[in-house]
Amino acid sequence: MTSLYFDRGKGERYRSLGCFPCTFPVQSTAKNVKEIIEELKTGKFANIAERSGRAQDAEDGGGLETLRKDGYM
Amino acid sequence: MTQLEKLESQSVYILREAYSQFKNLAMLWSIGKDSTVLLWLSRKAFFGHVPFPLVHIDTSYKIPEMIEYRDKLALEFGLNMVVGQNKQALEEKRTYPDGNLDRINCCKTLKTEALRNTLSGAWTRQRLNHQTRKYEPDANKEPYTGVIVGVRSDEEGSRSKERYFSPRDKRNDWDVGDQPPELWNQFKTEYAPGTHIRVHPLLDWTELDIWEYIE
Repeated sequence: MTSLYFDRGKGERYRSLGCFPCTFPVQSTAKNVKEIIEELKTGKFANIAERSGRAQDAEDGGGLETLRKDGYM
Repeated sequence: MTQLEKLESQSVYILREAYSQFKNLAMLWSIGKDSTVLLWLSRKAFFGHVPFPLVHIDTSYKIPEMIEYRDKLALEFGLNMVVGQNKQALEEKRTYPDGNLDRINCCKTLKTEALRNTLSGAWTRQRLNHQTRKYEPDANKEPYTGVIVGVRSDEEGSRSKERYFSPRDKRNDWDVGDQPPELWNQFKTEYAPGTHIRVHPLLDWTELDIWEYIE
């Protein structure tokens, strides 16, 4: 797995990956798979969408559904 | 059987079903965790050899580590790696980072449009040559009729409306209200000419399942 998902010392990691101008990391100190699992189980992100760091989803009130009807993955 | 074993076995079943039903099958690989798990499952389903091309839509704005990782794994696993790109839009600077489009229209241009024309074969696909380790134009221009995608129901609202085998029409559009029922593992895999079916083996996996499986 690419290391972008893990904290590499800056206290942040990507939860979802995309283009760099529109993708933002989450605050997290999880450095490996085990720590990500522990973090998810704490419920820290229970009310935060996995793709909340993907800025295009927030545009247009429902950006991703608009995109997906048009053939986006 | 644990929950993860059940999920794995259902996904392997769907992958094999897709392979048996579609002559021109491809898998989208975004280099993210979900489609990388899907790649792993495909190797498992077909005993180490992935029998269909992996397609990446490269917007040219991906985090550089993603591209390095893509090519490293493609060479290591001997993957038939195919890349599609909207070259014209990039040349004309029709993008969000260039300040000429909003984010959604940038996604539409660099991803949706590139995906549509790469799947249909209208735009030249670039294929990895394992000898030279470079990408060169792919001679195969056949449209892909089955497209495996690693979307999951729990990651986002519109994805929870998908089926395992979800039809797309000639324009690649998706009519959410008109999809076949999937009862007792009976899947509709027929499609009209010029259309394709999206196949979603990871639909029932959660974010936590993915990480526990990776572990």
